[in-house]
Amino acid sequence: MIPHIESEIVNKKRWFMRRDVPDIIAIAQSAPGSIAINSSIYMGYKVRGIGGALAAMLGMLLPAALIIVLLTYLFLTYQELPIVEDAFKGIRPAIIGLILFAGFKIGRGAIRDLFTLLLFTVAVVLLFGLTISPVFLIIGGALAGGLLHAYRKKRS
Amino acid sequence: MLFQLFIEFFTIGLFGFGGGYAMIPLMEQAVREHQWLSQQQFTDIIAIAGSAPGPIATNTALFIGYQTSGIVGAIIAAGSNLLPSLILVLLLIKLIAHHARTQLLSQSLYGIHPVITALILYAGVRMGVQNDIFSRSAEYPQYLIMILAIILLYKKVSPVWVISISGLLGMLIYGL
Repeated sequence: MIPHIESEIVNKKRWFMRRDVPDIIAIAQSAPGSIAINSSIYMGYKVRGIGGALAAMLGMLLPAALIIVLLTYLFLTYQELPIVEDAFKGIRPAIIGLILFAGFKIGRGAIRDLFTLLLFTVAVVLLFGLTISPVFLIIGGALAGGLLHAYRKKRS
Repeated sequence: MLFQLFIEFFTIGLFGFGGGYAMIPLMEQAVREHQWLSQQQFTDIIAIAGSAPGPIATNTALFIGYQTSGIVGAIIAAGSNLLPSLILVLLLIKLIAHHARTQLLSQSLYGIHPVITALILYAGVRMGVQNDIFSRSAEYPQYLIMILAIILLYKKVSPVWVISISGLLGMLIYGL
């Protein structure tokens, strides 16, 4: 989606310069949530303030929301048909693959040194060993990253 | 019920660092805790959310909200899930002028992303167990489809195609 957004906002509408694009993506990736949505919020805000941010976000969401409503309706109506059940028996393992692959993709960028490998291992052990809330784990990860930053700054 | 949806999806939205898939483990946990859906229904919803265009997290939120409390539920779940993104992107635009703060932020994300990786992988394994794919009663076509899906995704085939192909395979294998 990013190359598509880039050609639209830089080449066609001329709202942004090409050198703005890395900034947009950096912020979109730092905030929680979908990168496409976050970059639309950023661009909407820069062009027309809060109203622009809301408009861009909704514009990004509405077409997909209409399709999801249609698919939901179809699924709820036909989910008991044997052929649909068979299809979902095939789809479920693919979804597990999809999620494991998403983990692999994020992990490839996230685990880059001993410290991040250690954090990953601790998180896995805690998840499989205890019933710990994911939110606490995420806060713990943020604190660990922040503390390491403070420690390195103090030493340098 | 609606208040509970709002609180849960706002929290999920607030902690979903690292793109839409980062929210899946958080949603899985919330669905399990409140027994909104069975694990199988949750997996099916992700299949539908993943085959529609648009962010998978918002699509999943729409569906869970709809299943638990109709149209209003769908709007509340998706809206409260998006609100933290909106607030934090705007906040980051204001903060980005200060170099020291962005450094602290990127250091926190450096610590958050390995945890998110663990959460996503754990959710994948958990859902695999609940769907009888990582279990003794699993059938080998299911493993094959899972491995095929991972290979296709690695080859940069879009998830929509991966889901469609595995649906067709399911019809062929289990229907004939």
